[in-house]
Amino acid sequence: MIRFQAAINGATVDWEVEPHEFLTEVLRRHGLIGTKRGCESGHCGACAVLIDGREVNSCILLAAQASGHEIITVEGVKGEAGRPHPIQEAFVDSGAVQCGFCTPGMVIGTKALLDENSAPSVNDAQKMLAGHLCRCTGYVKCVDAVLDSANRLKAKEGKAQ
Amino acid sequence: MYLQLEEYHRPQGLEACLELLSEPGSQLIAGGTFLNRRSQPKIRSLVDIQALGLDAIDLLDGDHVVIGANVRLEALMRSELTVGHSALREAAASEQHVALRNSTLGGRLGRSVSDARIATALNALDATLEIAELGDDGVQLQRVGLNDFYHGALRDPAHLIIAVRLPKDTQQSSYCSFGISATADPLVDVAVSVSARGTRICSGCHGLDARGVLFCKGASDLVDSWGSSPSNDWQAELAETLRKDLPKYSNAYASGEYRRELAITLAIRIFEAQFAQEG
Amino acid sequence: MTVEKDEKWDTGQDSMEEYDRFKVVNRSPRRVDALKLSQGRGTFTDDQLLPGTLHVKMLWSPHAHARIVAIDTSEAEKMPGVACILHHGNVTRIPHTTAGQGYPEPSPYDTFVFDDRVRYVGDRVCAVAAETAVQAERAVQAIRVDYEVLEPVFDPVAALKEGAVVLHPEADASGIADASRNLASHIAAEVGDVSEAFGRSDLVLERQYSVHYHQQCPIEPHIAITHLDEDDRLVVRVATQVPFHSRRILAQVIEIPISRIRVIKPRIGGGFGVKQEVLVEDIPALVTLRTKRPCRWSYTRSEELISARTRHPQILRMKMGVKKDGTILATEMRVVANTGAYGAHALTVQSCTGGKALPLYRAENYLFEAEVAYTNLPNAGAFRGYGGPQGFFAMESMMDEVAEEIGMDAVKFREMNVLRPGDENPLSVALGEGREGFPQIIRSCGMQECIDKGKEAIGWERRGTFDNSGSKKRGMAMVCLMHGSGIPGIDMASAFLKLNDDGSFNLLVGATDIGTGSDTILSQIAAEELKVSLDDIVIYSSDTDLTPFDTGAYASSTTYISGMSVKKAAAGTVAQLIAAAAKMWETEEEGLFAKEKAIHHPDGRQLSYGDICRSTFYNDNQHQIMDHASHLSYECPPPFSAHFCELEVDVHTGGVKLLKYVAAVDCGVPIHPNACEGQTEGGASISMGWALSEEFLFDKGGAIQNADFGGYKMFSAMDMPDFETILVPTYEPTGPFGAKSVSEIPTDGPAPVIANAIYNAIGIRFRDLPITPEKIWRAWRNKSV
Repeated sequence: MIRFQAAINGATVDWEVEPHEFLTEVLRRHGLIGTKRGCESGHCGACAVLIDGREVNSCILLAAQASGHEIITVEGVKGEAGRPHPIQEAFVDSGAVQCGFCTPGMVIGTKALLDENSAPSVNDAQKMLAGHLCRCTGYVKCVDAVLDSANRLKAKEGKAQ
Repeated sequence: MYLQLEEYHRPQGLEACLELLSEPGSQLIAGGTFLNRRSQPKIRSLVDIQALGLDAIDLLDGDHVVIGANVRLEALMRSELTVGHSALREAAASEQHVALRNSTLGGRLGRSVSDARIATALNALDATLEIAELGDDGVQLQRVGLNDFYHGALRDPAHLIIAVRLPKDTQQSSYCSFGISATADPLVDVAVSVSARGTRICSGCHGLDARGVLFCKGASDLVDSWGSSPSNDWQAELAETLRKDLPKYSNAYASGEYRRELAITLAIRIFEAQFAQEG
Repeated sequence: MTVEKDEKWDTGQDSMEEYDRFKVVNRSPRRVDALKLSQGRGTFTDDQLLPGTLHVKMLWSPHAHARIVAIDTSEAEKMPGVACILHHGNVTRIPHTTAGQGYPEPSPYDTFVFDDRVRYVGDRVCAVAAETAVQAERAVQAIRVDYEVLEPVFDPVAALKEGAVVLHPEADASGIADASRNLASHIAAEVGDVSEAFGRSDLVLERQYSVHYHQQCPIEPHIAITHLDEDDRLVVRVATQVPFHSRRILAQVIEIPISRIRVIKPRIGGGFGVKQEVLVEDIPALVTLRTKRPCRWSYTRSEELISARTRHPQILRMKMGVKKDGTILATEMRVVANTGAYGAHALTVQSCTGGKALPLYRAENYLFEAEVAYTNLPNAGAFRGYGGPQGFFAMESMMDEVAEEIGMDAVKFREMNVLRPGDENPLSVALGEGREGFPQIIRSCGMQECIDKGKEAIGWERRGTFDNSGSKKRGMAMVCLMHGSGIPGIDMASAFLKLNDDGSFNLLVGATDIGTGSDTILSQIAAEELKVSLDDIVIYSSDTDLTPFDTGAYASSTTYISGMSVKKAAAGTVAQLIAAAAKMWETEEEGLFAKEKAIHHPDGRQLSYGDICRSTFYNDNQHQIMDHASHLSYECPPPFSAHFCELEVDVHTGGVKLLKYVAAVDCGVPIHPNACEGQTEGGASISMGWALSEEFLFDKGGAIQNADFGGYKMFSAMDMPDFETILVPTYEPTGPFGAKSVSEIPTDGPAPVIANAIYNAIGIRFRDLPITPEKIWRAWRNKSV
C-alpha cells in the first residue's frame, strides 16, 4: 500500500492506494464517479481531470504518480453559490449533451482550454475536443458549447468589472 | 494492467534512482502515457522520475538548448524555442491533441523508440542525449547522439535519459506527418533541419509495427550539394535518393511501398514550402 | 430534362398550421437530464457499487476455431480472492440467441453461455469472479486449456461453398437456415419479374460493392452488475437497450422465472445497437445466484472491440435496368453477408438492407436475395442503420453510376424516380423483418424540399467549377435516403401516467433512453397532450418491475411508437380530468377542455389539475387519476433525407479531407429540433468513420490487431467537416404530433456520398469500403500510368 495525499477539488485527502491502481479507479472508489472509464488507453478522454491545472487522462496515470498534486475532477467544476459552472450551462444549452458519458471529460478539457486561452478559435476548440471521443454528437454542438463557454465567461468577467 | 506491480518509488536524487533501476523487474516511469497504455504484466517496481528536477528548458547553456527529460510536450509547445527549432514544436503539437497530455520528452524517447513523433524532429535537429548511469564512483554522465542511441548505443535498462541537447545554430526546421485520420499515429513522418552543419532529413515509421527513425544521409547530402540553387528536376532527384535511403516498412495499415512514397511526398512538400519562402 | 411537379408532391402543407399550435413539442427545451450529466452526477451502471461485489474477468479464445478438449482451473481456484469459476462444464447448455428482439426471436438459437467450441478469436472460454478485477485477471492467466484447433473459414463466400468447415454442427441449435452450408439465414423476395424487365431496358448495369466490419464504439463499454435483493430476487443493472428482452432471455438461460428477475437500465453511455443484445448480464447473474454476492462484469475497450457485436460486412451485387429517359424498370440486389461466428440479427439486418434501400426508387420490378454466412470472425449484430448503411452504399453509388451511363444529371435521375407521397412502398409486404410485412403508403414526404434546400446550402452550383489542376482535387456529390419508424406489427410500447397533488404527473415508460433524449421527448409529448409544461412531467423509464413494456430502443421506434403510447395515455388522462372536473362542477363533460394545467368551463371557470387531484385524492369521487396505453402500428412511415458532401482528395498522399457536409432531413414534426439535429450529426459522424478510417485489421489467424482507440480510428472533432443540418418540416398523420423517426437515417448517407464525391473529384470509383488513403493513392497512380 502507498500513501496518497493530494488536494482534490480543494480538499486535502489522505488515502491508501495500491501501487498498480490508476487514478481513475481510486477517484471512483472514493465516490468521485463523474470521472469515467472509457478506453483505458488514454484516447477517449472520458477520464480527464486537471492535475495542477493541466488536463490529464487519469486512466493512464497511476494514483501513486498523482500523489502530491492538485487534482480537479468534474465534481470540482462549479459556479458560484452552488450553481452550475457557465461551461456546464453552455454544454446543456448547446445540445452538446446526449448520453453524457463523455461530457465530464469535455467539461474538464474546456476548463483547461479557457483557463489558458479565453478566446479560443474554432480550431482551438476542435484540437482540444480531439482528445475527447464522442459517438453521439458528431462534435458539432460540442464545438458550439466550447465557444459559448468562452462567451459566457467573458460576459461574467465583464459583469464583475 | 500491472499484474505484478508491488513497488512504486519516487526517488529524490539520481543515484537513488539508478540504484532502484538496477534491481530486477524495475522500470522507470515519467508521464506514464506509453507505459501505462500497454499491458505490463511483468513489472515489479516502478521508478518515477518526477522528483528528480529534470523539468527545465535551459536556453542559456552556451551553444545548446538543454531540455530536461521530464519536460512535457505541451510545455515544449509553449516554450521560447527559436524558429530554428520549430520542427520540435510542430511535432509536439501534432501529438498533443491526442489525449496523451502527460507525455514527457524523456519518457517518449526512452521507452518507445519508434512511437514518438518528436523523435523524428529531434533526430533532424541533431539532438544529443544526456544519459546517467551508475558507475563504480557513483553517477556517471554520458552524451550520445540520438541517432546512435537508436542504433544500439547505451540502450541499457539501468540508465536514465536526463536531458536532450539541441544545437542552437539550426536556422530552420520543419515537421510533417500523415496518418489515416487526424488523431491517428502517423504512417510516416518527416522532419528537416537546415544549419551551417548541413541539412538533416529524417523520417519515422510509427504506430503498429513501428520501426523507429532513420536519418536519410543520402538525401541530406544531396540537398547540401545543391547549395543555393536546386536543379529544375530537384523533386525527382530527391525522390530517387530517398528511395535509396528509406527501406520499405509495411504494417497492417499500409504497404512499405506506399509508406516510402508518402515520406518522399512529405519531404518534397517541406522543401517546396522552404523554397517558396526563400523566393 | 425537367421533373414535373404535380399535386403528388404534397409535403403535408395543409396540416402545417399544426406547427403554430405546439406549446411544448417542436421546441428545444433543456433536456431533462443534461445538467446532471454535465456535472458528472448522472448515474451510469458502474457508478453504484455494492460492498462485497465480485468482479468478473473472462478467458477469451486465442483461436478462431477450436474444440475445447479440457479446461484445468485447479491453479486458478486456489488463487487469492477467487470466488467462482464458470465454463461449459458447469453451466447448463441452453441454445438461445443473444439478439435483443421480440419473442419468438427471428435469429437462430445458436449460442450458449459457454460451449465446448470456440468460433472466433475473442469467443468465451472460461469466466472467473474474484474479490478484485486484478485478482480475477491473475486467476484467468492461471487457467490451462487444451484446444483441438480446427480449420477456420474467414471468407463468407468460401464458407457457403461445399466442403467448407462447418461452424455449427451441434444438434441442439435451431433456426439456422442450413447449418451444413454455414448459412445462418436466407432471404428472397421478388416483386414483378426482373428478368423480363431487364430484357426491355435500354441499359442494364451491373456492379458489385462491398462493405466491411464496423464497431459501434459506445464510449461506455458493456457492463452489468447483479445482486440479490432482500427477497432473493435477482436485480440486474445493465447497460442495455432492451431491458424487457434482457429479462426474458436471462430467465431462459439462467433458468429462473421471469418474475424473479428485475432489470434496471440506468444512464447509458451510448448503445448504437451494440447494447441491443443480452451480451454480458448472464455471467454476473450466474455468479450472483451461486455465491449470493453482487457481481460486476465490465468490458475493457479491447473486449468491446473484439467480443461485443459489429455491423454485418456484406458483398452487394446490384443490377439495374433503365430506359434512356431515366425511368427505372427493375432493380436487383443480391447480398452475401458475413454474420461472424453466431447469427444474432442475421436475418433481420439483411432484410433491412433490401427493405430500406430498394424501395426508395420506384420500379415495377424488384428482386432481393441475401445469403448470410457464418465465419470464424467477430460476431455481427445490431448497429444503428441496421442493414441500411450497407444497402444505401450500394444503391446510392449505383444511382450515380447509372446516371452517368445514360448521360443524365444525377440529381434529376433521382428526383424522377424517388418515392412520393401517396405512393405505396412496393417491398414492404415482401420484406418484413422475419415475417411477412405490411403494406405501406407514404403519407408524408419532404424529399424534394430536402434536395432543394440541401443544394442551396452546399452551393451545388459550384460543382464542376473547381480548379483541380493541382494535387488537391475537390469534388461534390449528393445522395437520397429513406429509413423507417419502428417495425410494423411487431414493435409495441406502453406508458403509464398518474396525477399528483400539485398537478404534476409521473410518467412511467418502458422506453429506453440510451442517450437519444427519449426521456425528454416522451415528456414533451405527454406535456403537450396534457396541456402542461415540461417541468410538470416526472419521467421514470426502463425498469421491468415499475415501467410497462416496451420492446426497447431500436428500429427507430421510440418517438414514433413509444411516443404514441404516451400521447394516448395522456389523452386518456385528460378525459379522466375532465370527468372529475365535471363531477366537481356537477355539470356535463361536453364543452369542458384542458388548457394550461387546468380544466376550463366555457363559462370561464377553471379547476387546476392540483385542485382536481386534491379533491379526488381526499374528498369526493376518490380515485387516483391515472391512465395507461399501449401502441402498435402497422405503418412504418419513412423519414426522408438528402445528404450533400464537398471534399478534397490529395492524390499524392491519398488523404481525403471532408470540407462541408449538409444533411437535410424530413422527420415529420421534430419533437425536439435540437435533438433531431444532434441525432443527424452524430449518426453521420459514425458512417464517416466507417467510410474512411475505421477498420479491423485481422491477422492470418483471425485476430484483430488494432483493438484499441489508438489503432481503431473513430472520427474525432478534427476529422469532422463543417456540418449543417436542415430540418424540413412535414406532418406525418400516423405519428405523435406528426413525428417520424430521425436516428438511423443519417447513418445511411456518408459512405455513398463520400464515394460519389471522390469520383467527382478524381474520376475514380471506389466500390469497396473503407476508402483508405493507400487505395486512393494506388488507384490514382494506376490511372495516371
